[in-house]
Amino acid sequence: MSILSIFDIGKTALLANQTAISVTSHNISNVNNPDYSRQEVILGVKTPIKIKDSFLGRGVSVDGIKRSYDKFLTDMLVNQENTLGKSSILKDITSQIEEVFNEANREGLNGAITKFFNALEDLSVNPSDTSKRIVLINEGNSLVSQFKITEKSLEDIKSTIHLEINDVVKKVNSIGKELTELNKKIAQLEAWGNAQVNDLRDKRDALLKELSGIVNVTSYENSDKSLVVMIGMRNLVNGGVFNELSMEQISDTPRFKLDGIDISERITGGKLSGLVDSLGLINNEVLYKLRKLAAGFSNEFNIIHKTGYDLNSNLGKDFFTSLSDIHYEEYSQNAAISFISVNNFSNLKFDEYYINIKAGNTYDVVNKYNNQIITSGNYISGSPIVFDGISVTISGAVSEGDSFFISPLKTFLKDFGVKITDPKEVALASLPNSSSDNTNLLALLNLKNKTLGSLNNQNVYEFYNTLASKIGVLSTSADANLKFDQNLYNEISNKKIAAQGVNLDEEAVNLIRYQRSFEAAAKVIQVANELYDTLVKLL
Amino acid sequence: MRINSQILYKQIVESIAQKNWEIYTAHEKLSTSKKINRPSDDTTSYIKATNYKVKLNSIAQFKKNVDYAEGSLKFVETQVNDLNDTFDRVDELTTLGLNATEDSVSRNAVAEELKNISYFMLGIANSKYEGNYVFSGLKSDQKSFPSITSTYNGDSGQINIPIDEVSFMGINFTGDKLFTFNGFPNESLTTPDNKHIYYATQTDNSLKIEIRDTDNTTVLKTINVANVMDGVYKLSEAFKKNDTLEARALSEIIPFSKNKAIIAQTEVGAKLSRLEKQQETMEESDAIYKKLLSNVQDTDITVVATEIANIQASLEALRLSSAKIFSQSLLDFLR
Repeated sequence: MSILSIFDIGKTALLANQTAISVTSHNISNVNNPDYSRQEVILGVKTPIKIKDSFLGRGVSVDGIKRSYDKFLTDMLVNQENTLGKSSILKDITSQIEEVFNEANREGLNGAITKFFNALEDLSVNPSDTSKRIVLINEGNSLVSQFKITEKSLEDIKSTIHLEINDVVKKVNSIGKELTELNKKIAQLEAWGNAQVNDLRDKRDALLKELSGIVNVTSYENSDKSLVVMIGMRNLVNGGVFNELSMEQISDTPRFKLDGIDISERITGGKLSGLVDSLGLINNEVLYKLRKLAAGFSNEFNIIHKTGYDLNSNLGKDFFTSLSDIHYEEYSQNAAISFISVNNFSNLKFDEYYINIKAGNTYDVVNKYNNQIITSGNYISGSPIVFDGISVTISGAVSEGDSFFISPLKTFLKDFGVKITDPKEVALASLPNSSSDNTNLLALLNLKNKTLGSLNNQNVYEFYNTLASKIGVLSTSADANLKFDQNLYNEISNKKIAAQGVNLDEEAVNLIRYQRSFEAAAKVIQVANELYDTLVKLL
Repeated sequence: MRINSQILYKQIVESIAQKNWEIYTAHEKLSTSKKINRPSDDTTSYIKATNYKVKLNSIAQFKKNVDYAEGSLKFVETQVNDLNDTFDRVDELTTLGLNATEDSVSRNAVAEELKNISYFMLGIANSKYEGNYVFSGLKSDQKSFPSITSTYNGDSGQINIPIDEVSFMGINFTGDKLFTFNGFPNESLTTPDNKHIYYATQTDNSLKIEIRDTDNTTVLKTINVANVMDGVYKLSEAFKKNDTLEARALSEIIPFSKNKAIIAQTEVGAKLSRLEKQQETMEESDAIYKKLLSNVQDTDITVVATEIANIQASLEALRLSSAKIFSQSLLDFLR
């Protein structure tokens, strides 16, 4: 054993402590990085050498740099991020919808309906008053505008959702690509030995967590240390291979494809699922009911209005524009709708329907919202199918599975307006030549409290209030869900941070500790140097 | 649990955010003076408030209707009162004219006044309230009697206006009830000199008067009276001609018409007192619903102000403690 070996031992200590100080500095510099896992130097004893009957130590070695990592908590956090992603977007959108219907501090649809009825009521005492008739027409126009503004606000929210879905799909793909690149690097760097690329793994975990916030994912690690990431049982990332998530719009509903398969139904969590659900809520609940209210109310108003007489002693015309353009979509190879129109205004229920062709050339007309069969029969090309006041003629050869979507509501508000412009043409009398007769006006006014078949047997206010309160309840429960999910997320996140986060005081202690050890190791080298010097001086 | 810098930082940031949110919502309640600012704040109360607002609006609307009805009926009342007073005078004048001691000069004076009265009554029959002829029924854009010899030009339609959720009130009196001979008894009279007077109402509610001789067969005279005003006018003509028999025949229509005017007066009075009660009821309902609405939606300012003071105190404590926690770390002691 030579004095030189003391130099070696001192050197190992210097290097080990230097590494430890590096790791400590790395920890300190990442103190505010939420995805960072605290690292720790694992020190080991260098293999000793045998001197006679005993072993002499050779100093210290750095056996590894370990990250404080809890896989269970990380997985839980990834899952909770998914739940939270969905509930936070649902809360955002339901509060936006709620604001559209919020009349606590301003006047909205409810106010416009009330003002319209007020104008009618004002006329009841003097039905021939031209200025009051003009007010009625104006209030009718305001009501129409309010319906249109409400629809526009909801359509705006929908456009934002569509844009956001586009962005989210792009984000999924960009995260997918990044994960693929990280997979390649990790597999490459960890190919030899057991060492883990801590920082890259932290980054991969963070990306997976971010992805989980967007869409429900499942993942597992391959034997080559690369990660397989799946959405709806299809691979987004498999090692170094990336499959792009694609989206297309079918009848206002986005459909998603991954790896050649439609996975739309399997997207059940994350922001993306929240966005798709919100879109469904707006289309199938809010817009549907809003249009139903406008259509049901104005149709009934027109029917009554047309039974009265105006100031010219003519029978009344339509007060509001009546349904003329019925929206339809055809899902058939050889058959098409050749004629569609209103068959009987009094029978209109204002729902949305599918005419489904079944085996043996028969058809069912199904209500889109409750799946109830309204009518069915044998399909005859060119022969009209009549249901709920609508007559539809389909021509051509149909085959099983063909479907035709019929909606008297979809474009209703686009064409909606007050048709009457001449105040004399408002038909308020039930008899001709009776300028003060308000009998028909009273029948119109009675619509305030009259339950309508097209409004689910509710009156105008009840129907509207049911919608507004439903939105309120949805918003309340979305808020409650978000709070619950947020608390759970915080709980798990705190546990994960407790296990993995950096404590500055701890690191300060380590810094002193390793600095002291470094100084001591330097002293060892200094002593060895002096010993060496003493010997050299003997020569 | 291992507490580290991040947890401390996170906890403080979250707590401050939470307190800020509480202050924001409390302040919103103060600034809008409402505790419900959107349906999700309390859906049940929100819907209640909406219903109360609709109810209050209806009450306000019915109040307007009642006010209009009152105005309209008061106008009718004035007209009917004038009509009644007029009949009193017609009565006096008729008695005076029929008095056997009167001569043609004084009958002429009576005739002149009666003629004026008939036109005054025609004015009442064709009076207008807010642009509408009040005695024309539903044909309120047309005179009920275009001329003194016209039969009734209006109809018997009632203008009913809603005065609450379930009741209506007719606010007009149709001219056929006041100025025609609808319901005039078809009877005959015998004069002291044994002549006979026959009365017969026609389908157009005019009155045909036949004066027959003592043999009860020879028709001496037929008078067609289109309406009450026409009756008074023809009465004046009879006095002018000094024809007391004709005047006697025509004078029968006065008590009949006066009685109708009295009935109308009573009916209008009854309606007006009902409206007054209705107004009181509505004032009460209005106050009740306003109170209910206020209970449901208005902020109790004292409660919210206390709430804000509490939040502020805890926020201050939080700031103070976080400042202490973050002001020092072990690193400060490394020299």
